[in-house]
Amino acid sequence: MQRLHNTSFDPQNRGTGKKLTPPKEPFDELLQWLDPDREKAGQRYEVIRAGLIRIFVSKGVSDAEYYTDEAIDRVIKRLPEIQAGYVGDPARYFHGVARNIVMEAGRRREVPTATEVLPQGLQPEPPRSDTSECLTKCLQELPPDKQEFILDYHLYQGHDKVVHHREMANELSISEGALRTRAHHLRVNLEKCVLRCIDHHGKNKNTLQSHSN
Amino acid sequence: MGGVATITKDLENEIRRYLFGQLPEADEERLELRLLSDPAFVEEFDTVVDEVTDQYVRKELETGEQKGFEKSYLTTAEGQQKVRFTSELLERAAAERGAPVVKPIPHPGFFERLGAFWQVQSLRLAAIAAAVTMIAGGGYLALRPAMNYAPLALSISTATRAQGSAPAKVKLESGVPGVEVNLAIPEQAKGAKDYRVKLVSGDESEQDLPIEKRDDQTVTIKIPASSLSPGQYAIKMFRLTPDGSFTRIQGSYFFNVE
Repeated sequence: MQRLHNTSFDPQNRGTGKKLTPPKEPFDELLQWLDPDREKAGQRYEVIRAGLIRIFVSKGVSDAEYYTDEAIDRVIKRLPEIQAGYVGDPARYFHGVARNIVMEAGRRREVPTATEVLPQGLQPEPPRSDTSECLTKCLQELPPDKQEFILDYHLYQGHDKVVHHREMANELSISEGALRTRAHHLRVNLEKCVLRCIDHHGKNKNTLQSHSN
Repeated sequence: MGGVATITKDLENEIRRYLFGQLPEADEERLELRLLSDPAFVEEFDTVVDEVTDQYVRKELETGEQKGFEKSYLTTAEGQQKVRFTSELLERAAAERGAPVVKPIPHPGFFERLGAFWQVQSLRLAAIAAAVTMIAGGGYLALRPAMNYAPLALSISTATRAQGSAPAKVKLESGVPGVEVNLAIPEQAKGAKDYRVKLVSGDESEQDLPIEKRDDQTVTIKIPASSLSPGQYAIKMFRLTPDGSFTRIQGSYFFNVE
């Protein structure tokens, strides 16, 4: 199976989110369909991709990046037939394709979910200590004020949390919405750092194992 | 980005219901189409996912919400990874800011295991801390010299006033110039070059208090009797960070004036 928007489909690349240089024609056609302005088309493509990933995860479809690539491939394949006559927002077509994939996955249920059988290409759940060690490391990489901020932000729960966030926003002289945005961005980066670190740990362990074998 | 700042309660509720599988199909379709076309909405969506994951880990979701979240989002490797990360982050925040947490209790179920390590037992420990504080404070009161500042020794508590047990009490007898308070610096905040202290009265008004003396373990302040009337008080402490700003030390020192 050839990923039309990747250089080549490699099962080992499933769900890695690696952006490979696409071959020209089919992918260019897709961009052209999304918007005649290539830059705008690229932005639209990224939004569609991000949205598809969130839809799949929300619908319980594991390995969302793989199925997102699958959805995009299906659209690219149908493009020669639909391009000329299609009326409306292309996002709607992607949505239809995504719905089909979710339904197919539901019928299999069987859809290899993480709690049952791990999809091919996914690593087994990392031990908790890896997440903990990696969080320590990634927190240390943050400037002290950001470290303070992210830990403070996540301290309380329920009504206390609301009050605490209001206090934090007052102290920083920003709105509560801006506080929330700031916390979200920090958290996203921290989570990415932890994931990279866990991945790195896993690879190191595999290397050590293969050396000892 | 501005989208997150302006997210409305309705929109937030709609995203939450989507994540719990409780949204009617037509609304679901509308929401999904927006996910595919509005980058600001994608960010808003992610913020709500963070929020819901926090609540899941803290076992704050209602049963139906929890089940819905487990049935869909959390069956994915991505969702489970997010829960692991969130659990660690919340646990770390509590540990580093003085709120005690219990480590995970081994349990056969994945989700039960994750939920278990957010069994915060701050109330129990806050009660012990408050009892120690009251005994210490009472000891000072019994031995204090006449007409000196009434002494009070307080430890920080991250429990709210409502959650915690009875705070330390101090009685201001006639002629006593005020209260001398020894504030134990929490472990994670020791070693700062400087501290600041604020007194918060029951009506939420705040007053900066000068530091009389400090050592590695405690900061001492004197509160004049004129600033105190019978009621509840909290003291907030701030520490000087390396970038030159003062950061609040989490928690408060509570006491009542009789």
